[in-house]
Amino acid sequence: MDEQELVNEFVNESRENLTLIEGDFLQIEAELENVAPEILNNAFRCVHSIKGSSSFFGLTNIKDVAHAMETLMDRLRKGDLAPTIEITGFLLVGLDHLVTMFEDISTSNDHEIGEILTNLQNLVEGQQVGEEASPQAGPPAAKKKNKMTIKGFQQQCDLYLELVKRIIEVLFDEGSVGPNMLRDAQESLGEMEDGATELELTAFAGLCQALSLLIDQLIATAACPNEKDQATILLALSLLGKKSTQTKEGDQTETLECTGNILQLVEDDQSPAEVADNALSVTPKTNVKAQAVAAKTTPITKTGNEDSKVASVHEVETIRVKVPLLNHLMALAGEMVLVRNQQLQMSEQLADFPMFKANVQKLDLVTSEIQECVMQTRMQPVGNLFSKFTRIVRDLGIKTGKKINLSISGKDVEVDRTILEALSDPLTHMIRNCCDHGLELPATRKSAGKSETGAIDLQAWHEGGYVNIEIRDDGKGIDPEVIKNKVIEKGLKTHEEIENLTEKEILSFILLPGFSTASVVSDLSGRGVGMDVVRTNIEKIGGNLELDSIVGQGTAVRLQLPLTLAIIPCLVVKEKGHSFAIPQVNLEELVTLYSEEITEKIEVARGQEVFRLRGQLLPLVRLGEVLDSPEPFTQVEASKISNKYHQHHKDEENTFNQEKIDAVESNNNQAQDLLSLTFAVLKVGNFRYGLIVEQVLDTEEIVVKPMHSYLKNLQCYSGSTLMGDGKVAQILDVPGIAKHAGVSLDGRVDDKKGAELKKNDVDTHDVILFRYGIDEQYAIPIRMIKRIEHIKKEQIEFIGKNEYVTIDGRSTKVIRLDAHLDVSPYEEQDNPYLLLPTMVKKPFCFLISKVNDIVNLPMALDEEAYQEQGILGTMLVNDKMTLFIDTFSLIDKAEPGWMGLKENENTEGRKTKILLLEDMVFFRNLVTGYLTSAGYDVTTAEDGKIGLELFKENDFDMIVSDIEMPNMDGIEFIMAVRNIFNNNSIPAMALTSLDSDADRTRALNAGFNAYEVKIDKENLLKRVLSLKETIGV
Amino acid sequence: MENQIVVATKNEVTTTKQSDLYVSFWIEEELFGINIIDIKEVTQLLDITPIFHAPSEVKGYVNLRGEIHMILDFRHMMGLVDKEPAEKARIIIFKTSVGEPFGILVDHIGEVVSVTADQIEPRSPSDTLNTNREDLISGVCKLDGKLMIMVNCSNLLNRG
Repeated sequence: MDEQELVNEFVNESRENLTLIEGDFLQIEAELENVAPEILNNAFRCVHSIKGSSSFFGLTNIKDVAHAMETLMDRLRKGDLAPTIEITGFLLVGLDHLVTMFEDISTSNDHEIGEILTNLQNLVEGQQVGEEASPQAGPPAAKKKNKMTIKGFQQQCDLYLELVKRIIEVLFDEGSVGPNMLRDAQESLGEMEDGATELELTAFAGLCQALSLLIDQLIATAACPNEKDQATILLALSLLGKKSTQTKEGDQTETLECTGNILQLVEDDQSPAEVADNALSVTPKTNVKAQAVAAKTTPITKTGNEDSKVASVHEVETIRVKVPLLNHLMALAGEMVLVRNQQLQMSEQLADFPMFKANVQKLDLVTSEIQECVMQTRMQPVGNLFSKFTRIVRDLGIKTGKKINLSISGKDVEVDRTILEALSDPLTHMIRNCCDHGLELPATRKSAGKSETGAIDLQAWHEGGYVNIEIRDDGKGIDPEVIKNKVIEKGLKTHEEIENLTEKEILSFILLPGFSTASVVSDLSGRGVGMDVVRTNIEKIGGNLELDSIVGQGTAVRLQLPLTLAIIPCLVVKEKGHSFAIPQVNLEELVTLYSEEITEKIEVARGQEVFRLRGQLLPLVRLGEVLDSPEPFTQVEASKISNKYHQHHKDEENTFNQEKIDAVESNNNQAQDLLSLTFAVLKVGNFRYGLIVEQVLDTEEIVVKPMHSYLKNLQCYSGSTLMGDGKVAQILDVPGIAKHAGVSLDGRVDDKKGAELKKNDVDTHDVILFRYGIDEQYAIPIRMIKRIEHIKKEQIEFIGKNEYVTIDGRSTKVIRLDAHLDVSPYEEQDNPYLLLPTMVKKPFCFLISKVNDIVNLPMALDEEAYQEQGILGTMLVNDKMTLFIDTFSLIDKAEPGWMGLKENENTEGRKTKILLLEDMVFFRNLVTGYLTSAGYDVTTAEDGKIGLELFKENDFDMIVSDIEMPNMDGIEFIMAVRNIFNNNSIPAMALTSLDSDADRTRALNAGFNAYEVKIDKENLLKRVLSLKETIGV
Repeated sequence: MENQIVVATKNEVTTTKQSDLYVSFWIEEELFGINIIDIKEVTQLLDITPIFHAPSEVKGYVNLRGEIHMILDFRHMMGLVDKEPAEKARIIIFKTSVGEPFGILVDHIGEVVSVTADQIEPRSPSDTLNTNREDLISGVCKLDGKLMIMVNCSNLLNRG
């Protein structure tokens, strides 16, 4: 083995050791004089072996720092010094220096260490003065002077050697000796080694170290060396005796040769399983192992300290394996899983060969086990990562002047090392967050009635095949008001919009880019690159992040992570004839709706299909539509899709019902497949949505392969995989699809942008959003409102039971919504608002408590969800269910008969049949409502074509038609009626939003008898009535 | 099968003159050539899984002995009308030195030809090609009565 390899091995070992003793130092700091001696001993041994090896490699700076630390610790260990926070503080600083130097070992000798050396030495010496008189009668080492003289060294060596010799003799004579005695011998050797190092007697020091290693081994194996070995050891001891009396090192060959022999012994003694491993390294490796063993065999004198790192970390023997080899093994196991899957499928088809099938089942079992084992090789306990937070929290506590107690549980939970690596930064960030702006200063805490010491709980546990990690603090929590202000300030939402959001929704703003609520930017956090990066990183590794906070009580962030990235359980679905995989980590449940449920339970709100799942509105996304559209949805597209399906399902249901009737009639009892629709409830953090798929196939463990870099910008996929049938399938990216479909918080393409790309093809309306009671949000299209009046509540006067306000000199009747609708009562205001409806002759106004906003919306009302006279329908506006008020029918309800609507009762008792052509759902329903409530029998058609079909088959008394319609417009339609069907007698009225003389002339020329502009109810009804009379129906 | 031809020709030619071997293939009436150094293999048509949302030149993914390869439609990249691959269609798979596992779909495969450097002209392709992917063509080579368009493989994975 060449020296470079040795150095590398030494660096790796030392780094590991340094992480371990960092924990020890922190524990010492926490417990001070109560600290268990084995903690001190362990730390001492680690530093000691670093010192020894570094001097061997000529790394003088490392050696010097380690030496100074060791000296200080030795005094602690011997009880000469009581541990103080000052001491542990400098030990930690020393440790940091060591860590830095190990980062780049080649430049370590240039590292500045003067200050820390002085500090450490001062600590040793500063105490030593007052110590001299103490009746300490320990071994001579306690009196060790700072500057070793040759003579002093020789005297010491005589003493130590004597001790070692005696112990070794006992061992050889009796075949065994207690580990404590051997450890004494080891310690003595250590002291000699130190002295020799100081005097630069490197060969001598090397031999001491070699012997020390050998003793380690003897302790571990509890065996007695054979005679040949005994001779070697005795020779070594006598050599040491001789050399210690020589002032100069002189001829070293003998010593070096002897060192080699001893090291050879160490190596030979290893059990066969370790030989391969030790081919890599001799010195440092054995150290660690010996330490581990020593730690285990040291009787635990102090109780209540079981959880100490010393006891828990190295319990099983381990070997080092190169990571690429493991990765390769992992990849092969992945391939094997695929072959296994293929075999399984094949065996299904070959039912005639039971032997083959049985064999495949065995293969299945073995493969699963191999896969599991291979996976385990990549697993590491989260404790490896968690332990570094103790230090971070300590340092931050000091920096911020806060008292913080970090408690960690679930250190043994294991997770794939790639995930662990990816977790490091996000977790650090969140811990820093807790310390910096989660927890309060001690004084603040005290005045809030909490204990001065803030608590951070870091917890890991397994649940349902995932690893959960929770970071919880008992600090001040996140104040939704602060976020609200920030949101408004940044212009993300208006004041009104934000009032309508739930607390959880408000919290999730923190996860948006550039959002930090820390009012002061510190070097810890608050630079606005915070939680969004955390979220992105967590999502990148297929995880989930949920945020919870109660003001004054604390914040909790919970991460849900897959155990591994390489093989993940997935739900396989089929769409457009191809398979797609959905990671189980994102899957909450599957919901299937049957026949009429599909139309009843899926509502359309704000142009978005939604399903009410246990009281929560769940936006629905159709995978087929997502796949069809390479560009992210705009709002217009989304609402178009929603409407398309809404209509489609109704049609489908009708056809289906018809078929069912037909089937019954023809006595055809063949079982009809039920109409069904299945969606998967998927989650991304706090957010959930339903993904409607054609077919659910199965769950399968799949091997994740990254997307080709040519296709990296496709946001809907997170990778691809091979299915059992050998075909390639895409793995769906759950957050990506939500974004693509525009259902997530930061989702939909801005419609202004969208409008540039696409022709705006769905009608939108300005509506006013307002409140009346506490619960509901209401809306009225602006065109229905003449104006909004801001009044004082004293202005409302009572005349009898009715309330009136004088507006423009007219007594205007006030309509209270809760008097006529089943809604929550009025929320009293000093300065309420009045809405004055348009196109109403008698003066009415609606009392409202608050105007929320005016927004432009595509009119996609859901008429089924809430049916009551006075309500047009409902719709989700700003994520809030909103009731759309039908001003006319509400007034009608409040003041029955005021418009004199009963005039259409036909003398024959037959209702007048009207054919209504209107493409917009909103107007179609509105006008239908007006006409129906006025007593007409209304048949509707979406366009001229359908209208013409209906016209052919039915006997109508009157036509009311829109002009602008798809397929066949109103002009073409009426021309067809007049010219093709030669029906000039049927009265026809154009009802349109086109309001120019040219349009009017054109419509009348084409054959309409009347022309009305949308949408004045009174005029409409009057016109219909007069038309009816003219023609004399 | 094509691979065998490749090997045979290679032994024959490299001994005689300083020249490179090119695998030729056809798209409609156009002959193209790719340096054999860049080619891993030529396969029969495999089952291609389309990738929704991918750029239009991406035909899809194939599974070639357990490894996923992306397939580009060379017809499309050359600005020709898309056509369903016929029986003679082949997939040319490139070595990983060219880029992440991928291949191109061609109409049918031609012979392996030996080309000396002086036969290649750094000229743009014949005017029958209506493509804006000039970057994919490194020159033309005069063969007996036919021009062979040299494909610059290293640019295939640059999105045009």
